[in-house]
Amino acid sequence: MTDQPIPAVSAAEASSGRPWYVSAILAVCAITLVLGGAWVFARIRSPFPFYGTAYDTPVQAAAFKGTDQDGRPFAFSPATDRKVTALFFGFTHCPNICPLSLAYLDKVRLSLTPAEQANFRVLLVSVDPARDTPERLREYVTFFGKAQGVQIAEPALSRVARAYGASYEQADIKSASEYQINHTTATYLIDAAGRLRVIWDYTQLPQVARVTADVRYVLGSAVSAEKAQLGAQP
Amino acid sequence: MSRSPQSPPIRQPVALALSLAAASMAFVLSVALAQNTAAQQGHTAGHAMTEPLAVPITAPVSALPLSAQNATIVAVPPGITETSVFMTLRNTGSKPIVLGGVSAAVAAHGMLMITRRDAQGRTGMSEARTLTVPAGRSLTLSATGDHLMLMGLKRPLKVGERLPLTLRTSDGRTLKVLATVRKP
Repeated sequence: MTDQPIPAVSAAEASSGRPWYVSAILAVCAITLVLGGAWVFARIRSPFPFYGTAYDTPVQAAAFKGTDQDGRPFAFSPATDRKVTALFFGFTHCPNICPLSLAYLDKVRLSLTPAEQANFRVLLVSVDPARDTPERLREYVTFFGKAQGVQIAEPALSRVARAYGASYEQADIKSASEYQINHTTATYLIDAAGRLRVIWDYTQLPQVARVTADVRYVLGSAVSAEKAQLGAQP
Repeated sequence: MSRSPQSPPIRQPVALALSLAAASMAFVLSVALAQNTAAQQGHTAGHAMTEPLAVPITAPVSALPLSAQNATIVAVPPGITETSVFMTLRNTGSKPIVLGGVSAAVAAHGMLMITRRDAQGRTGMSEARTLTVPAGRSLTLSATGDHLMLMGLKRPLKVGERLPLTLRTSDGRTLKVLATVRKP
C-alpha cells in the first residue's frame, strides 16, 4: 500500500528530473488545498462552527403527545412553544447514557444566564414506556438536574422515534420485566422556531463548554431571527 | 517512438495523483486504525481469553499487579436499584489480567459490561464473561465503553459515600477497590 507511490514518484523523477521532495511538497499543497476548500465550503454552508453535527437545512421537528413526569398530559409543539429544546431518547434502567445525558445537559443549562435558561429546556422521551412510569421518570429527571420526562405509549412512540430518525429495540431479554434496550444516543437541539439544528452524540456531551456554545448560538440566532421578523412587520 | 516525448507530462500528474491518493489513504487508514485499536483494547482481546492464559505457574498466589484509580459508583435516585461503576485499571505486570467478576456487599450481584453500537447506530450494553486489562496497559471503565454494574442495590446510596468493591480475576485472585458514589 505505502510502497505503491515510490516507483511512481521515482519514475516521474527519472523522466522529468524533478526531485522527489518537490513532488512531495506539491502533494502536500494539493491535500492542503482540498482540505482547506472543504473547510471553507463547510464554513460557508454553516457560518457557526457547531461542535455537534449541524443540519444542512434545518427541518421542522415533529410534534408529539404523551404523559409527563407528573402524570399530566404533555404536548410537545416545537413550532409554537418558543423554547429551545434539547431532546433525547433513553430509558431509566440503563445507568449510563441517561444519567450522563441528563447530568451534562443540566451542566449546560446551568452555564447559561437565567434569561437564557428560561428559554431552554431538556426533554427525555422514554423508549421503554412499559417500565418507565411517570413516577420513575420523575425520579430520574429531577435527580440528575432539571428536565422533563415524557412517556409515550406504543405505537405512537415508534412513529415519534422514526420522525426523529431515532431507533430502539429490546435486547438481552431475560423476562417480561428484565431486558435491555439498545437505542440511538443522539441529543437533538431544536430552536425556538421548532427546527432541528444540531445533533450531539452522548459521548460529546461531557464537553460542556462546546455544547453550551452551540446552545447559545441557537438561542441567540433564534432571537435575532425573531427580531428580523418583527422588524419586517409594519 | 512518438509516444515517449508525450509520456513525462502525463506521468507527472499521474505520480502526483498517486501520491495524493496514497497520502489520503494513509491518513484515512491511520485514523481508522487508531479508532479500531482504541475500541478493541478491552473487548475482543478479553473475549478471546476466557481460558485463563494468565494462570501463574511459578507464583500461584502472587499479588495482583493491578491498581484502580478514580473508582466511581454512579449515584442514582433512591428508587433505582441498579447502577454503574467506572474506574481506570492499571496493569503493571507483564501478563494480561482477565477479570471474571465484581461484587459488593451493597448489591445482590455485579456484572461486567461492554458497550456496543450496532449497524443501525443503536448503542446497547451487554454482559461480558470477562474483561481484560492488557499487560503494562490500562483499561478505562466508563459510561461510553466497558464498565461494571451493580444489580439489586440493598439500600439507596448517598453521594460522597465510599464503598468497598471486590474485583475477581478468572484465576481466582482479587483486588479490593474503594469506590466513591458520585453524580455524573
